[in-house]
Amino acid sequence: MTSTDVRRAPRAGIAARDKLAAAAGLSFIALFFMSGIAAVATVSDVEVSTSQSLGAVLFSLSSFSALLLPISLTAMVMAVTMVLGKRRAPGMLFAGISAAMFALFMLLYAGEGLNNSLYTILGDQLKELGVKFRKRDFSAITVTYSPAAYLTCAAGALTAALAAPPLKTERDRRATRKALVPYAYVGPHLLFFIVFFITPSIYGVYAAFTRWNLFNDPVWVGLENFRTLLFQKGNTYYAQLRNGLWNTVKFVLYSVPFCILVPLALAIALQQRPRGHKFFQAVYYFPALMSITTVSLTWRYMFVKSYGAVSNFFMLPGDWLVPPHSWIALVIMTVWWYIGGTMVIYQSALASIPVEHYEAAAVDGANGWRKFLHITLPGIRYPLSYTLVITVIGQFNIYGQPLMLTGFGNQEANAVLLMYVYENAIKKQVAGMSAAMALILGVCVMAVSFVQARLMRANTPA
Amino acid sequence: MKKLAWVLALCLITVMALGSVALAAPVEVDYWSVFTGADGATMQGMVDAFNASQDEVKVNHTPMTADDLYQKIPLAVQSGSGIPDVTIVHIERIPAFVSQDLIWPIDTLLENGILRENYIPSAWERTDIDGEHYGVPLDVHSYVTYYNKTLFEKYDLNAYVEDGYLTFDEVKELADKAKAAGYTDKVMGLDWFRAQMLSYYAQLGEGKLTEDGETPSFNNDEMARVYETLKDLHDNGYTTVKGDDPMQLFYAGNLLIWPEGIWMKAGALDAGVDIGMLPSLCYTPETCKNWTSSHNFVQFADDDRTEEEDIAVAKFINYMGENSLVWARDGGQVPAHVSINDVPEFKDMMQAFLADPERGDELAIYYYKYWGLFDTAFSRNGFEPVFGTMSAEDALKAAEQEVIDAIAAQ
Repeated sequence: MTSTDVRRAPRAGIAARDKLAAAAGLSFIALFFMSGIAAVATVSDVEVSTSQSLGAVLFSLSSFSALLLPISLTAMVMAVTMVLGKRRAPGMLFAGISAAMFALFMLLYAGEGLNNSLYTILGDQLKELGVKFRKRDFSAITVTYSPAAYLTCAAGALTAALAAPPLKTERDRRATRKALVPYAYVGPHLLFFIVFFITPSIYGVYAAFTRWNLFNDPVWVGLENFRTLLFQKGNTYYAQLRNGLWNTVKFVLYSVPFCILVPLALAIALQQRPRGHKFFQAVYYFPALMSITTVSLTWRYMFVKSYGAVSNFFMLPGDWLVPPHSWIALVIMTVWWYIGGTMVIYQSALASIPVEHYEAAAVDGANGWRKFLHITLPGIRYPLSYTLVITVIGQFNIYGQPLMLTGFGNQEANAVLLMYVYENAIKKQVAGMSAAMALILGVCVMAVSFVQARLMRANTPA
Repeated sequence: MKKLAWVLALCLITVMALGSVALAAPVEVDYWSVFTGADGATMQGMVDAFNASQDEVKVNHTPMTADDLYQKIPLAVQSGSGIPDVTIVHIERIPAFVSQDLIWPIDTLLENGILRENYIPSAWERTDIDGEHYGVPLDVHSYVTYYNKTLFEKYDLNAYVEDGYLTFDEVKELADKAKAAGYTDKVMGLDWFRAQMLSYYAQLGEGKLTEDGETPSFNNDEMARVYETLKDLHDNGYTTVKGDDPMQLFYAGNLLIWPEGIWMKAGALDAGVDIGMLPSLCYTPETCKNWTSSHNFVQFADDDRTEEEDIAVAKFINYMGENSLVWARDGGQVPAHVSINDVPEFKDMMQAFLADPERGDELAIYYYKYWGLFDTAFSRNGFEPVFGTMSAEDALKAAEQEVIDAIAAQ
């Protein structure tokens, strides 16, 4: 046996175990959706009971402990991916987290008793039976899990055990430590990312396919919300999507060029180091430190026709809170707020262009414009592309400025899509339709970002 | 030995004293309200006075805007934590909260000293729903009409308000008279769209927003006529125009008549305007109605709330009712506790006519399960049909459709 064969033998063994671990992980996911819970409550000597699949609990959106389920599922998907990628240590870590989260869910959900999804079902039964009750009468609610739920938990633990890397030698232990250390660094962020981004995103996408008033359990309606939004002429939400999306696109088209060009012009001006350039740099950056509420209210006082400075001091004609002037007002206040962050990026990029290039161009007789066109612009090509992408994404998410400057006034002339999304979800409790609107906006932003990212990649220096 | 006995006795007394202090710790009541600005300061003063008046209950007041409260409270109830023990909400919101099982009947409060007969019937009876009672009114607050007494005196217009009412026809007449005498400023304000419209709408019929309690039916001839009335006044130069700020104009003495809520009284007085107050502008004095709401104490569903806390809440609400004269004086409101109606100081207040039992029919309290949806949809286009930028027909049709679509999508 050669030394190469010696090394290959354990590798083959690990691969088989990886497959087993991945199979256990996948069985966790399968068992998860086969699991169920049963709940029994006795109120005024009347016993009522119900049962639910864990899938239904996962999407019930009505219990704090139920939030542990998407974390558990996401962690197991990551564990399986890691194991299949032959990264057993992190695979073990994520499988362990997944099993722990699942076990914690089983513990907390049973103790919670009064979670809303169970209460709603049991309460409806009691109402049908004519029993008068209050929510606190449900303190005797009992939750039990199906055998599949316990098997799910066991499958999670098994995945972690099978994925565990060998720890016999010091070398093994060192290798495991080395593999896990990066996750100690990214772990906290990853946790928050899963809790505050992945989980709400999953629920948001699910909610888009439901009818939901935030209080009761969402009712699955398939593509009905999208059918309404995209094809049902005469429906309020059909009109709102069109108006909101069109106003958002208009705002992006109006504001993005200025959000790029004005900071660029100021960065170039400051690059010449005029007298007091530090002071002006601070002044230009200052609005970026303010909240959008402060910015919007300040500018609103400036633009109000009856007492605002724009109409009464500068004597500019027109009502600046009414279209078309309101669009100009929105762009002005957005650019003013936006200058600081982008300008700093340009300043940094400009500083990295070797001064010799300008000197050589001057020797060749190039004027300022030619220097800008042939030295400055190519020199900041990458940061320019980057700011273009983030500015477009940022402006697609426009919300605070039109909300506070014009609201839904002027026949909704400045109402952008996110204003409708928020109003429908929170104020009107039409959360399913609102989530569908948000999903459509998200798809649009992703499409635009994708195109821009391709362009950016083409412009990125090798 | 004797010395040791003294030390032990002293320790025992100290422990008992500390124990009694611990036992006497006040019951804490979390109270959320929709009062901000001047109203918020007045309410905080009342809460502070209650806390200072006794040692058994300590109320922690959290004021916030109505929009914030109506968004936060359902989420708090859903999560089951941070639910206030008592909350002030507007009366028209209560049916929706009841239908969503968000609030509880106030049985415990009724068993602990809250008495029906202490409150104005028109406000109390509105929260009797399906055999249960849900709210205790703090006040009733209406949409009224302010007029600038100095300007009325100057242009000899007092004859128009002698009967205590001002009709739309009289507005035109007095405006023409004032203009003929050299008055060049604005006559009447268009302000706070929803309340102004609903004050006048209630005068033209039963003031119903729905026929069956569910489906909206406010796109009708009566509502269209209200738009016509205001548009006629606007087109003939009797009202403020788009972009005007009626409040600032009235405060500056550049507006004769300012329809607004009674809670704006203090602001107008602070601005130094010599004001008079009338009911809402009316088609005829006989059919005059004022859009009216009422701030109600309610209890949102909370399984952790104890009976001890309920008793403390009842004590707090009783105190607030019995001491709501300050709410009338500083907040400009009409207390719903009937004991205040007989207080001479209140009788002398300009808003006292709203508490007159014989004029109870003039209070138009709207009551619709989908009030929140109606409010958002109806207010969306505001006075645009009056300004002529869109038709009343389109505005009403869109608003009604918006409510129908929202109900279907919930």
